[in-house]
Amino acid sequence: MNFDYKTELKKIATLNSPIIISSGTFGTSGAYLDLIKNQNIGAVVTKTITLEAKSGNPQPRIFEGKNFIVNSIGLENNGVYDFVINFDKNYKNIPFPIIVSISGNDESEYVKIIKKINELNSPVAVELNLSCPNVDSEGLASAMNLKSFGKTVFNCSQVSKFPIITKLSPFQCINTMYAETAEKNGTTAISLINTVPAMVIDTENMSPFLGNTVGGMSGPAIKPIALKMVHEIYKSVTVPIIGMGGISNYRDALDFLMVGATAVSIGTMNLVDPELPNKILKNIDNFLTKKNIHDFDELKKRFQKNL
Amino acid sequence: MKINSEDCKILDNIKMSEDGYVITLKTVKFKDKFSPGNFLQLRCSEENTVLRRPFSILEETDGHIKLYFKVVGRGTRRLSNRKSGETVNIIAPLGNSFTVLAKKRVLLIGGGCGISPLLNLSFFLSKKQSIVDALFGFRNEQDYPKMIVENRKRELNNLWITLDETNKKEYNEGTTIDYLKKINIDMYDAFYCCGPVKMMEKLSDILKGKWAQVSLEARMGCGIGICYGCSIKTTTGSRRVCSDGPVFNLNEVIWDEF
Repeated sequence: MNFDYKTELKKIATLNSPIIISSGTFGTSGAYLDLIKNQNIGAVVTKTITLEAKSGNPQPRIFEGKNFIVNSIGLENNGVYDFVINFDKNYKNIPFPIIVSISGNDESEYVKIIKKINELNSPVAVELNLSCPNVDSEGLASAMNLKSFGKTVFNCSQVSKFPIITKLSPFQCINTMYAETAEKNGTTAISLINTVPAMVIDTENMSPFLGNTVGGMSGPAIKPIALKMVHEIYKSVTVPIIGMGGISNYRDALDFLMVGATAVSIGTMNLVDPELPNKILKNIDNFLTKKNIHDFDELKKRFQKNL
Repeated sequence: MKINSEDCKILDNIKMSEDGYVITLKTVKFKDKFSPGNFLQLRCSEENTVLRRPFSILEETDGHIKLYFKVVGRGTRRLSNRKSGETVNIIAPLGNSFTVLAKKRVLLIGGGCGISPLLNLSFFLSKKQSIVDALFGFRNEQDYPKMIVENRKRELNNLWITLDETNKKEYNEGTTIDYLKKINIDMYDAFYCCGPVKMMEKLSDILKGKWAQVSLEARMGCGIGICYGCSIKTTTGSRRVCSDGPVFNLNEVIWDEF
């Protein structure tokens, strides 16, 4: 590698690489860790933790289209108490900074979860999954109320001993209001976009394809949507942005960095190719060398000049 | 064995039945590394599909991995068109494995592509001096990959083939479930099953209280225990087919939500 990929995410941490692994696509099994231990990954985000255990949605949970998938896993997890008790056992061998993703049904649940997470020492941040399309509609409805959204971010920022990252749904990125509200209420960084609420029909059988009827769309097809949202929000906030949505190669990663992301996150494609981070960095290396660009700030400036 | 990835050259890709193929891949990393029941995740195409597809192992000898698959969607259609000389990327070996019992009398019960891990298992069972009978079911003669099964006949003590529709004497008309009623199942110490969910569900009733293992097929996201796309309900809670399985005790699976 010819470049220093150290990425400063404000007070969260200085990451060794701008590549993060998104929530729901990182696992702690030993077998999986063997595959990724040599990858230059900046941080990993845990599967979303809820207050109580959740058994997840009925099968089928995944549909694959030509260049996208729609999932309705339903935040299957053992709840925050189990997470905290087993944290050392499950995460002690993870050689990357850990960001804990959490989701609550209302403002008070978020605070309860954070108080429990505060018992831990090693995470570098907490990411608020305020926008998962796969929890009941109340969760999303509350997150789509700007006032309640702001209050949740504020309360979490106040209570948490870890910096807060607010993860936005594409619905919260139609304009810049939610991002600005998150910033005003103390978020340290913003990540976007979460999966796009979506639905698939089994036409032949005239029935919903997914066991949960609706789910969240991700994968290469959503990249242009995500890119536009990062581009708009970058202009209206000063906190760092973690850009994601369909990243599957170095060009995708570079595009997000150009439009304003400080770091990028791989989700769906991490399920397909856990060795993607190093492939992306190697190709970014070649690109920057070829273009005679010395760092990502310069890359951003080159792009912004062409706007 | 640690899981790993490898670009494998396709040695051949041969049509075996109406919509069934056996693809042979050359491996260096995974020679002698598969236990019976393990599977792999294969990238059928980098252009037309997103996720990998899980395949159980039909056979691995001398670094040649054979997979038996049926064309059921875009990924497997693309795989059926892949030519020898091309490469495909695999992640392996994945999942748990069958318990290989020694010196027992066992019955393999398989349907469709489900025969694949069972035929692989029969080799390991024979090595441990178990006596292996097999009952395999298919839709019709066009659906029956005769060459694959005939090839492995020497490891099998008895082989019964059922076809849903047939008028030939060498086959038995009906399903494996129909035929099972004609067999004295009490003479077996153990059962190993793999096939369509409906068939497995019926088997779990028939084999209640018996020592029986099932290898489950599932729609997977990652195949390596990350995404929880393949979770199923069992008597011991939610389990991931890819990393807690694919082999389960037949009696522990709760079939209602499958």
